[in-house]
Amino acid sequence: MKVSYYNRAMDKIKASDELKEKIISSVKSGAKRKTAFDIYKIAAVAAMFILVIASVYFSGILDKSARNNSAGHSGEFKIIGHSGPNVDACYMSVLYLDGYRYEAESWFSYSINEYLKMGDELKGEKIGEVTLDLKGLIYEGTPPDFSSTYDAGTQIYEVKGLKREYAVLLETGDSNLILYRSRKAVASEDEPIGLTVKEVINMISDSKVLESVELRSEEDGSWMRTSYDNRLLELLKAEIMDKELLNSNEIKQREESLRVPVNLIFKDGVMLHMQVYPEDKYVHVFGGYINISEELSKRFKELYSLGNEFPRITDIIDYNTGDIGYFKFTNHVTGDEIVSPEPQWAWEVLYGMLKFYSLDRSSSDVQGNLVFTVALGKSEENSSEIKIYEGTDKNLVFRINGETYRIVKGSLLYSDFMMYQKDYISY
Amino acid sequence: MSSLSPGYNNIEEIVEKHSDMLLRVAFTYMKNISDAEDIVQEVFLRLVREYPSFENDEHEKAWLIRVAVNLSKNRLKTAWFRKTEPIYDLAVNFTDEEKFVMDAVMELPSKYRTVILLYYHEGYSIKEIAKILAKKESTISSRLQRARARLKTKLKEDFDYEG
Repeated sequence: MKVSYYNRAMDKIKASDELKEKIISSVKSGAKRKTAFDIYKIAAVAAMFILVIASVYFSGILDKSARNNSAGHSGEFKIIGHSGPNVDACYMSVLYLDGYRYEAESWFSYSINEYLKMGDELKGEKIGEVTLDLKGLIYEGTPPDFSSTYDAGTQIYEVKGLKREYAVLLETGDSNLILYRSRKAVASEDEPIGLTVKEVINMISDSKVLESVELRSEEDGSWMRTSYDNRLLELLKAEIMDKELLNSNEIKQREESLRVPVNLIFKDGVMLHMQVYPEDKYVHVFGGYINISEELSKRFKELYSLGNEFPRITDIIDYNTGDIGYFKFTNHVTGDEIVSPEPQWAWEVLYGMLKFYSLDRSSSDVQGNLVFTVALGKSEENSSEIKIYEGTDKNLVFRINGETYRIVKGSLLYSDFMMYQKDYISY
Repeated sequence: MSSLSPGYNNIEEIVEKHSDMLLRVAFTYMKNISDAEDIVQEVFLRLVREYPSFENDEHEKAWLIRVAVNLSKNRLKTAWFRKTEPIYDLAVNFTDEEKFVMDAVMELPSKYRTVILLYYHEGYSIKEIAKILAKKESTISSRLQRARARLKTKLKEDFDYEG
C-alpha cells in the first residue's frame, strides 16, 4: 500500500469550524443536537407507543400470566436484512444451541495458538450440524438451535470428558474449535436472564466444588496467578452463588472502571469466566451481573495488585520498539536465515507472542536441540541473541543473557514459531 | 492526573486538539462524514458528562478513541442504521491515487480499517492499539497482518504495493 497516499487522504478529513462550534455549544447546553438518526428513533418509538396503546385498547385487559410467560421467553427470530462488511459481530465465533449461546472463550486458554493445535483427540459424539449461517445477517430475536457464524454444514460434536452444557466442538475445516456455553440466548439485553450462578454451575460442572480463582491479564488474557485464598473462596460462595443474574439495566456501570478478569476453577477442571469491577462493586458473569460487597471487592483488588506470579519476557528484555533496527531470524532445522526488512514489526509480533507466557528461570542446562536463534538490536553489530531450544517435552525453552527460562503454563512449540516465520517474516 | 479534566474552560482546547483525529476514527466505521460528525459530538458530550480523570494526555487521547470506537460500533449495530447503506458522501477532494488507496482500505472489514488507521496514520504501536481497543496484542498483530495481506492482494495488480 502506498501509505503516503492513505495518510494524505486521511489528513484531508478534518473537523470543520462549524462542527467544532456545534460541539462546544452542545457541550455547554448539555444536549446533543437532534440528528436524522435521532428523529427516526423518536418517530419509531412514538409509532410503537401508538401501536401498543391501540393493541391494549382493542384487545382489552392483558392476561397477566401471558405477560409473565412472554417475559421469560426470547423474542421471535426474524432475519431483517444483510449487514454487509461493517459489523464486527460477523466475525464472532458464536453458536446457538439448547437455548444458550456458545462462544470461543480465549480467557480459558493457556497457549497462544491453542485453537490451532486441536486435533481429533477431543472429538466426542456428534451433536448435529450448523443449519443456519448467521454471518452478515441482521436479525431480531433469538436465533434457533444450530445457528452459527460458521458455514451451514459445519459439524458439531461433544467434547470428550466435558458436559455438552459446558462446551461443544466445531469441526471448522482448518482445525477443531471449542465453544463454551457463555450465556442464555435472550432476545435483548433488557430481557430477564432468570438464572442464578449456582444454576449455571450445576449446569456446567459435575463436581460443583470451587477450588481456586485464576487471575488473567486484561491486556492479553494470559494466565497471571492462581489463588487458593480461603477467605476469597468463602466470600464468593456466600455472595454470588444464590444470586439471580441481573441484566445490564439493573446495575450501575461506568465505561472506564477497573476490570479484573478471573476464572473460577472447579474441582473437575471446569472454568467459569468472570469480570470483576471492584471499584463499582459488581461482577459480570454468564451474560449477567451481580453486586458484591466491599470486602469481596477488596479481595479482588488485592489479587489484581499481586499481578504476575512469574516473570514475563517484559521483565527479562527491555522493550523499546523504536530502538530495534536489526532483526535476524535463524531456523536451525530448515537452515533459513532471514534478516527482516521490517525489524520493528517482526520484533513487535514476536514480543507479543512471547509476552503471553510466564517464564520460570532455571539454573539447569537445556536438555534439547537448538531450533531457532533470534538476533535483535539497534544494528547487527549492536545486537543480542535469544537462543530457542526444543525441550524433551517438545515445549520451547529460552536462553537469554546466559539464563534458561521455561514456560510455566501452556505450551509454545516449534510449529508456533514456524507459523510466525511463515506469516510474519517470510516475504 | 491531567489538568485536562473537561471543564468548560478547556473543552475548546480539547475539541481543537482531538476532533480531527476522532473524526477520522469515526469515519473508518461510519464511512460518511455526517455520521462521523455525530459520533464526534457525542464523544465530547460523554467526556463532559462522565468527567473522567486522566493520568496524562496519552491516556486522555486513548479514552477518546475508545469511546469513539464504541459509539461507532453501537451505531452500526442499531437496526435503524443497519437498514441503511453507508453513503460515501465525502465533502473532501481526494486525488485519484488517494481515493484509490482510501477505497481499498474502506472496503476492509471495520476491525481491519481501525487497526490500519491507528497504526499507520495515528502512529500507535501494536501494544498501544491493543490497550485502546481492549484486545490482545496478538489479535491486533494478526489483524494488521491480515489487513496488509488483503490490501496487498487488492492493490498489487494496479498499484505499487509498499507494505
